[in-house]
Amino acid sequence: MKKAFFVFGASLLLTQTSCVTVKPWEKMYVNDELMELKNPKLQIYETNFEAYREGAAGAEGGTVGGGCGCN
Amino acid sequence: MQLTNRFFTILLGLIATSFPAFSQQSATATKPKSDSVKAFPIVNADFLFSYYEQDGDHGAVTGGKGTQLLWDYAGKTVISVQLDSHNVVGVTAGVDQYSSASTDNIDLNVSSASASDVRAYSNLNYTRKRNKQKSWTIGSGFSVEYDVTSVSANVGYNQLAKDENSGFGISGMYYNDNWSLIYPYEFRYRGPNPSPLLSTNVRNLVGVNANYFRIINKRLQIGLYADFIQQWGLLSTPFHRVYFTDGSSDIERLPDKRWKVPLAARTSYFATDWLVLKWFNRYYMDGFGIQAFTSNLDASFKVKRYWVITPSYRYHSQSAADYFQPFMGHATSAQFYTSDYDLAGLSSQKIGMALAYHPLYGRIPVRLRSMNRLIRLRSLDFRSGLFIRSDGLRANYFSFGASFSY
Repeated sequence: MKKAFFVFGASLLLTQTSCVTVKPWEKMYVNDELMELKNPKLQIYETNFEAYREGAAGAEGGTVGGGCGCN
Repeated sequence: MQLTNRFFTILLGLIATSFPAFSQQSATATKPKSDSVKAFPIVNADFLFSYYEQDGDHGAVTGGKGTQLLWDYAGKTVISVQLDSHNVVGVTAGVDQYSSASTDNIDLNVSSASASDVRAYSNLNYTRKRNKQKSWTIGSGFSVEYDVTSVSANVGYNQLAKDENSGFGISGMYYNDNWSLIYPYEFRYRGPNPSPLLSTNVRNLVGVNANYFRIINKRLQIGLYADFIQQWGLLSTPFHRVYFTDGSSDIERLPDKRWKVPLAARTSYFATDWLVLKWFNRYYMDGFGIQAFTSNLDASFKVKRYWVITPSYRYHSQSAADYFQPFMGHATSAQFYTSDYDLAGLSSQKIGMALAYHPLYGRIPVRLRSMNRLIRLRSLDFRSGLFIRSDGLRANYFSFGASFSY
């Protein structure tokens, strides 16, 4: 668990030190719809069944609770 | 095999009926001439449909051995109304209908009421944008099915940096599930005034999610996500059976508390004008002793103007919960036990394909006589794939979505 938090913290630090300032007129690529840092709306169904068929879930915008999901 | 054939028949049928609509859209004008200046309210509506089927041989209702055959049809509507530049209201409503051979084994009546169920749910959200950088959200929801009713509430705050090259968000959620305690038939009649098999029928969940994103350079951005979740109350499923080494049986029993901590990173990379790569990695641990790692790679190819094809591959690996043993694997001295293979040590793979049509200005604009505005088709999306678990469970899915704005 400590190792996981260390890797996570190191990633956070890395984003602070390794990036450049991108001007608004240079955001053509990062503003592309496909670059969004979240799942497409339609993927919610897959995220839900994965949450039920696997013992792990969360940190990706899917179901973490509510309802039975027991089939 | 029969399962797969049925799945592909449905898939081909839906695709075939969709193509005439595409050709009609292509014949229409590209950019609408009017309504270039949007007036509030702006309404976005998404109509989503999904079909899912699975089969396996480790049903938890029958103690880790038996059919897991299941079909699920799901439909959902998501409506978002931007009232003005500061206020957005969102409503989600959906229905799932499933047919399950596994839950049909709760009692002796084959094809009884337990063989199928309907789940209906709805959520309401309100977002207030204080300015271009700051916003907060509050919402609530409920769901109803035969044996569970659930209510939920959520609140969140998001903030962008001034240069909008980074941002963070934090949100909290609460779920309260009320279960009707339905036991397997052999545990229902235990003489007059029996002691209760389970001490509670309520499951609670409190969760906090924190996220942070950063634009690394013109083509690369990364997001980091952490959830901290605590569940308490009824964490077992009342109609799951467990068989012990001596042949005796009981219902599933699990501790009444469980914490979960998933940590995830997501990367988006604009490789070329026709290829975008997205990579998701997650490490997960919980109070039941499960540790898991998940990785997913999406490669989006812009094959034609407005058309995108995205093949994807997902791999998941997890260790078993401390309380899991297979069919007839538990000692009678154990305090907690389950034979639910969702909590077993296993790996799974998912191979998927997505097809998206996202016209730049929206297609088939329709002007209604009573309204001086256009309804536009914003996108059409198809997703399909195959999910294979190392214990032999196989699942297919197909989903379709259409998005409109007004």
